[in-house]
Amino acid sequence: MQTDELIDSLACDVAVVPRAEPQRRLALTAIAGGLIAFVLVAVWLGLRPDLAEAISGDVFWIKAGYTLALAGAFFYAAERLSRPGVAAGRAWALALAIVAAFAGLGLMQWVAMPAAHQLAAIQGVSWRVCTRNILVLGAPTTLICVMSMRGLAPTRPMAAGFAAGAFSGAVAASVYGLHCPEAPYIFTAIWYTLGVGACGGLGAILGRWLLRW
Amino acid sequence: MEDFEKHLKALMLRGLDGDAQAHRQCLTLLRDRLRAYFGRRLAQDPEDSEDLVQEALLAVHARRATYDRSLPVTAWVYAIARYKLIDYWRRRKVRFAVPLDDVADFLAARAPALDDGLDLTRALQTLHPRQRALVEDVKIGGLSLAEAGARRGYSEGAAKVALHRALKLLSTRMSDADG
Repeated sequence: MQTDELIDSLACDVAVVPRAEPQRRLALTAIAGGLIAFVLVAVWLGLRPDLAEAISGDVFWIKAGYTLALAGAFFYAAERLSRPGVAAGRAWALALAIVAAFAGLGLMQWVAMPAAHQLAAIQGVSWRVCTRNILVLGAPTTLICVMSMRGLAPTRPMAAGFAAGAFSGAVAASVYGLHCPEAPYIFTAIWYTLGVGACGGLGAILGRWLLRW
Repeated sequence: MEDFEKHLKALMLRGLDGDAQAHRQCLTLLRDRLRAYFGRRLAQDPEDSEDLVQEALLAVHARRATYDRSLPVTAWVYAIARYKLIDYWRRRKVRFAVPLDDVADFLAARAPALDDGLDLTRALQTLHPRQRALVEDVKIGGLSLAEAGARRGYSEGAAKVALHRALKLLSTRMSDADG
């Protein structure tokens, strides 16, 4: 087919293009992912028995604030990376700053603890399953997010996949707070962050395979 | 170069808001720039070069929702062209350093190469005959789409939807063919 004929065809396929398509897809993914994670928490892990009490305290919201802030940073990264030729450096820097800030908070709280409590603060009761749980909660959303990026145009498939996965993981980790009873911030800083990173890794692998165009 | 960016961006924005004429002019301008870009890098393979021009135009069209209106449109198209070029070399297992500063080349218009796109022709063959005929028949203007539709037994609205689907399929087929 002649190039000019192709152009003629394309020119007939004109409709109004939405302005914030990547943002729209990511937002829908977050809603779907949040619901999926919530259902999994409700029927598989169970809501924490002291939820009502926890919600009226600070710790619950500081933990949620961390994971939601991470979700925001990775949303920004994923949105940038869905567009050809757009740099995501600032988004990665933001994510790193959020991790560092919260880790700093966790560390400050930890060193002030009596030595006898410090190991317990890191392990809690659920350190063996926390990261795995977040990965399970976030994996379906990671797949949905990567699939929704297929119609966009990521020129760095693995990086875009990682951002999609980490975004999904951070959303899942936020919902996971409805189950997780651990209070020390160092616990969250370590195991939740690893969970988000694991979802990111899954996203990178999926991205490599699914995001070529 | 700045004038070209301004002109192209104005066309692009109107095209994004549904102006078919502006979109057509935009694609035509890009056709020339893309021919210069790929033609220089694939001097030994003018047919492959024109295939890449068509692939890039199809990608520009199909994925135009990813253009950030606050950024230069030339940078966006250049990134698409570069992505297709790297993909082309990756498929042919060539290891090459692709310089990031060749955007100046991309912005300079030059002579056109062969017009025929073999990959696109092959991808067209995989469409349903009625879809293929619609894509081949259609020319600029609502009246022509109605005519092309009537020829193939579509109402104008149905023709529009059918064309959109056919082009989407073409875009996918061409990416799949590349592996």
